[in-house]
Amino acid sequence: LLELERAVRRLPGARLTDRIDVRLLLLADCRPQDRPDLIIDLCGQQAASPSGRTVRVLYDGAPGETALLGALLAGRMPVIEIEEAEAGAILASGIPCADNASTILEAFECVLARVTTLLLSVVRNPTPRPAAGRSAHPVRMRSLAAFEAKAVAHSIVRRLYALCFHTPHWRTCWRFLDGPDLWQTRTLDGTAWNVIPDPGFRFYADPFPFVHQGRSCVFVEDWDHRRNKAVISVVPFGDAGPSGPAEPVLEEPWHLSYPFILAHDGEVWMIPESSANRGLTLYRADPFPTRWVPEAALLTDIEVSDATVVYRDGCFWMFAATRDGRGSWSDTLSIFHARDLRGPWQPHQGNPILVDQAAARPAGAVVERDGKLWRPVQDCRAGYGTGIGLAEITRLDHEGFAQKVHAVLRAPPDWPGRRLHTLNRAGRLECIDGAAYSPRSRALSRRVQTWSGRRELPASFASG
Amino acid sequence: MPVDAPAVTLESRTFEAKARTQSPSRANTATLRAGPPIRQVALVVDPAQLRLAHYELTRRLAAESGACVTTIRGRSVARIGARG
Repeated sequence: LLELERAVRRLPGARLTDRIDVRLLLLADCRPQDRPDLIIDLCGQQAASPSGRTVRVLYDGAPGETALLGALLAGRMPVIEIEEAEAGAILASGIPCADNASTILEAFECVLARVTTLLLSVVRNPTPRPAAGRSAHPVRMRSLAAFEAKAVAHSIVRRLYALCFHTPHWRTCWRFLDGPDLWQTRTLDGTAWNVIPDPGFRFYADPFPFVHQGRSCVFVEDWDHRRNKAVISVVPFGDAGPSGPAEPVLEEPWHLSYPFILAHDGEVWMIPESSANRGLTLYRADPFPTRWVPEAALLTDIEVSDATVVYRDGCFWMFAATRDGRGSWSDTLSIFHARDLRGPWQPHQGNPILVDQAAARPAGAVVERDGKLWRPVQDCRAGYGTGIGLAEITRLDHEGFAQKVHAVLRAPPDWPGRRLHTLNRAGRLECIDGAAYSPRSRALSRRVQTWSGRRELPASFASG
Repeated sequence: MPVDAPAVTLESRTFEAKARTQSPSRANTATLRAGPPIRQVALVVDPAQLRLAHYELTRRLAAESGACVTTIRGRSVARIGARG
């Protein structure tokens, strides 16, 4: 079935779902006299354990790839659990993300990638936890056919959309606040939002407002559709809003985004996402805000996204989405810590600390309210950037981490664009970004504005 | 606001069984406790159902955990396409 889908949809390259010959494993058979510390039962049969502890993989509580496929055909990602087979204890669990998948095969691969992640974490740290308690879906040929028909239709629509519109196209919204902010109201309602205008062939996303020596500005990912690459730009702000156009301030040969910024030790620092370069670099403003010089390589040889740093209890803590092998970029949270901002940064011994499509990936700076830390998280259950969760960090130390998601923000019907992505505030300036329509032609742009009315391209709008 | 996913809590580090529970709130918790290292891992695989993912797993198990990895031949519990 997966091979048929691969052929029909022309999916290139080696895939985790590809069948292989057992000889490729290059492994010796386990001998009767061997006593393995751990048996990983990838068949789900739970019986073949001559000695040692046996774990198996469950999908929504059931073993076997049929349960995995059943969940995907039901339109959801399965809860992966690594179960200690005899006793039923859950040693690791997670909900993978398939935000970069458009076929069953690709979603299947996203799940298999996180199965590897979780099994490796069990070998490193087999810690029991309660099971999720979902029930598996049966697989029927009729549902297979229906799903494939729908997937093909969606694929055609996506291609047509990409012919007419730049995709994705984000936009940054801002507002000045004198009252409660989004963390307090937990809604997009209230003070009207404004849009930082863009020229159409570029967009501004991942806004990080910053106040320096009494002046406000917003750092953004500045994506150019013509180059398929982004730089970091700054938008100066005055008392009434943007006081000038976005100006590039940091460019590298690779894609840059998520310009996380902080003040420390009398300097201003930036840690932009540079996962395309498999690393993370600390830059120092010299002078602020127009020039940034690389100061230290914080992480190397790792795909790390949306690194977010907070100082707590004499230690710098970094939250970041890490991509473990293949699969999604958005479902795995890793934590790193350091005594000095420049490093060395050490991985938390529980990494990956969390596999969850709804609560792993950072969505902005950590904030402190009433002595408690909160972090915005990307909720990707309905796709990349489709929601922001507001999570309270209830534990953060070298032995553990805990968070509780109290609310999930989603774009209301009158919000321009369907998505929410990054939330930040500095002083009175609160920013959030969302997806927008960006037609490739002027004629289409006029039609879209007529068709969508106040939903699109207002200079200022209120939600709710 | 909708809060609809199960809680996940890690409490101890032994292999004892725990009752399956559900929580109405969405929480993620990870707590670590030291334990003996795993030096040898045996994979139960169905030779007829092997995927590249299994190769990736064995390669990374050996490389990242330092464990000696061997195989036990088994048979998958359910095959895709069977009547459900």
